[in-house]
Amino acid sequence: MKKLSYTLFAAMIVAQLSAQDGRNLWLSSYSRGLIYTDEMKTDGVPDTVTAARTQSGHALVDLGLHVQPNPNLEVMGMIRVRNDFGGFWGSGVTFDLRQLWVRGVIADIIRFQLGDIDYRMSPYTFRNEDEWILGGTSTVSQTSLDMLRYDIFQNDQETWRQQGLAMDFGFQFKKVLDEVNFSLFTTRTNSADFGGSDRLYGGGMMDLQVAKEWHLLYHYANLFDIPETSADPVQLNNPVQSIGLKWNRSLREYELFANAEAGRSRLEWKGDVDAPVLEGGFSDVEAGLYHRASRLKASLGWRAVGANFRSPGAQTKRIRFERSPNAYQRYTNDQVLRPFSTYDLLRDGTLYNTQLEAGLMTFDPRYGNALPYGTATPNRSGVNARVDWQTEDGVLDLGVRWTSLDDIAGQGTDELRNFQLIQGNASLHLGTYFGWERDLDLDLVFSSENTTRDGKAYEQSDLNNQLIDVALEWEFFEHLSLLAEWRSYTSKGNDLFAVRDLYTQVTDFQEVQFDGQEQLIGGGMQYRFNQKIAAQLFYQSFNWSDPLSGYQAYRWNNWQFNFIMTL
Amino acid sequence: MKGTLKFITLFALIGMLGCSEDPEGPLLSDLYGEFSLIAGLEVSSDAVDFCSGESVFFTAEFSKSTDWELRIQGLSSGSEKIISGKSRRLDATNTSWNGSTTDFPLFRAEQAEITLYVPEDTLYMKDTVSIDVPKCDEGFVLLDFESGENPLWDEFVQSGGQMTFNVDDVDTAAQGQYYYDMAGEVNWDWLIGYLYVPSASFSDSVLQGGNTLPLSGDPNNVYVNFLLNSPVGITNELLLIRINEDEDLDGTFNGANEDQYSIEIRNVDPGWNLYSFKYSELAALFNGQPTNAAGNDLHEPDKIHQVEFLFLANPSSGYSRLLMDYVVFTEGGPLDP
Repeated sequence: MKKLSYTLFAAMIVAQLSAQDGRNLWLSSYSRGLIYTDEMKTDGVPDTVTAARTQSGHALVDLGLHVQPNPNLEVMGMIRVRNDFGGFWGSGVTFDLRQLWVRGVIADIIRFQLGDIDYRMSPYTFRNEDEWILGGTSTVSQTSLDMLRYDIFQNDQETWRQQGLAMDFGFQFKKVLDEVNFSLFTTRTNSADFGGSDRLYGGGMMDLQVAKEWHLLYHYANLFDIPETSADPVQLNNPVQSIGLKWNRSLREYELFANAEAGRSRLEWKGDVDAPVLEGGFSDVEAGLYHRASRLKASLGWRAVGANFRSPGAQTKRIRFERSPNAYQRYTNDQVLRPFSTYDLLRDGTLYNTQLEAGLMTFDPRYGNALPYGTATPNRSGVNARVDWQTEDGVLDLGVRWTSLDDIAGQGTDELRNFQLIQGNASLHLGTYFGWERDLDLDLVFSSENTTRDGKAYEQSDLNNQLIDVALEWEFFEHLSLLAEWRSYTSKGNDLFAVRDLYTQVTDFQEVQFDGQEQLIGGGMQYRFNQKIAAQLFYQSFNWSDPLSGYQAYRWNNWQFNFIMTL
Repeated sequence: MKGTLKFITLFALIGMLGCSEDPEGPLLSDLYGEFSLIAGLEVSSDAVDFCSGESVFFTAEFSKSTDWELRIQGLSSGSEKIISGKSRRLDATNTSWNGSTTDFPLFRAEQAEITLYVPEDTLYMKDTVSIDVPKCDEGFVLLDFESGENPLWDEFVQSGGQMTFNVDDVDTAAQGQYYYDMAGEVNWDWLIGYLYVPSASFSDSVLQGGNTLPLSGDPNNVYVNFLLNSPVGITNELLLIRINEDEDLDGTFNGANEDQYSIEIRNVDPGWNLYSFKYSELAALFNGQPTNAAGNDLHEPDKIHQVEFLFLANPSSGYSRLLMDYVVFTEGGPLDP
């Protein structure tokens, strides 16, 4: 029986510490302590109402107890103890059960995990895709982002943390097929206790390895309500299914590969006579190569996602754009709600989503207009290309991604919007270049997203969102590094934002116009005790303005001390 | 490699089968485009006989979906019908008119003027249509006063001041030419006067040989409709309508053991106002308060023996007046004028 890689069991970023011989019982842990000092000042009219300076901080420990009663079974429970600074001897201390799961192998055939599970399938069926506006590599800004991502179980594998049951198993054959693997899951996304019916999300995938080079895939996922679990007569039902193809071949110096996936979705509200039934589909093909000698990887793809394609597992957003930030939630002398910024997204976990949502969540065109729902964003068709290259000596890493998409169905007009998304990143390892023992790294991230539409004056759109992030990290003394970052995010232009009803259908358009400018300048020092333990002292200065928004511009300064330990 | 390309082509086609390319949402041209008139107002027919089931509709076309209002005014009666909507085109689906009225009186056989108004462009367009025969409402007409007073009605008028209880055409009637005018000042009693309409005031052919009004027995299907007009300045009017059932069909009403259902109307606005009541929802009243019906407590419209209209006013409140017209029982729904 070969292992399947699609169920990712308990992806904690922790090391495991053996406590007993035979590892029948062991602990894993993560801990951190941080102190923030913030100061906000508005430009123009001084804000004499909001408390300009705030102090905050906490210490927390995640302690996971792993019990292995026999070689085929493991139980894990993790407790989080958190103390917000300012309490004393228990005041302000919280205890939470952070994780609980059981996993194992039944009869050496079926692998399972019950409780907390991290799961993903294809980008069109079940995938927790990252938002490009949060791209960047600097330790200065990414440290706080990494903390909140850890807290809400977001990771680079783009899995969704769910509660339920997952299992996988497979068969091998001597003729016709090489191997067939199955992976199944069912999770509960809504309890009837909180209104509405019990809602489950379930499905799975089948992987047929037809020959050494060929994989045929089938994915199925369905978000559905259980009838009669509440007084609500309406039950949501949103099945999504797709078939896929993976092919790869090694040819002299080249690795060739091709992927294709196509599928359909159906979204209906059973029992609601006024509700539409939305049916949509998608197609995605990609082919590429990797040249081993030059370390050059390139791919070219095409995709089309129908306007009515609805896939909650793939389209649920990480960010909840309808929320307001926690820090300085109201500001100015009028105490208006402060619109959130990229800086809030780097440090405020309450702006993030942890549960699958039916339909299409709202989004903000300032922070991603081309692919607000990830790869599975409905009503898009076009091409994408990607090139990655690394020098032989490892001094330079380069990557470029280009995506060009058009609306499939016009938004209130036959004129189609065009979306150009260019993302580039470069990492220059100067320490390696000069042959130094210590690192000197310069990183650059550039992303630009353009939305345009021609036509009559009222049809025209021209919106540009742009991210530039430059980061420097210099280990000037053993384990001691100097860090610096400059980050700029701009959103300028106009578009017509589609307003959708409860059934995700466009009912109106809202004119939006932006002249947003956000800039973060930061620096500090980091001492690494080892790869798993670090102490950091950072200063960040963030400026926000958008003269067209009607909100007052502000400057936000922050001193922070972080101590992070992962064991 | 060829096989791979075939598969990729196949995948490209599968997912997009049936994907619509129709624009999503309302048209931007409707929301933000400039307004212009593409086709002017036209009437589908110069003359119309509403009583025979004919209808008329109006057409026009604009460059964008816009709010519009059609105002149809009877040049003789002063009746008015208003049709409004928001669309790019006016056609039979959104402007069909069956002769009904928005503001009373009812249309007569007359010329009607149609005005199309588009607020966004302050556009006015006019046309006319000839109403050869006005709309005939289905139902049993108890009173329309077009034939004057019936000697079989029982009418009583107190000997107060400025007393008027008669059929008149001085003011505009709600329907036809005549209405019933009740007025006077009685400073010793609430009752100013009454008009009792017995089933016997109708011919045998109308009553189909019985002693009750020719209505169905389903109280949920029968509606009582009438039109009232209180002159400007009058605020003390009170109309009590009593409907007596002859439960044992002996040709008489006995208040001690047969049902009487009542309606009280106060605070009638100036101008003609339509009142409609489902028969099953009428209550038995005693001094204006609901009480138990005296008989079998079943609403039986097919046993209505007499309808009584009592015009009342507080004796200390002075002069009062109320105009009444077009008392009609309809079946299947309230009167659609």
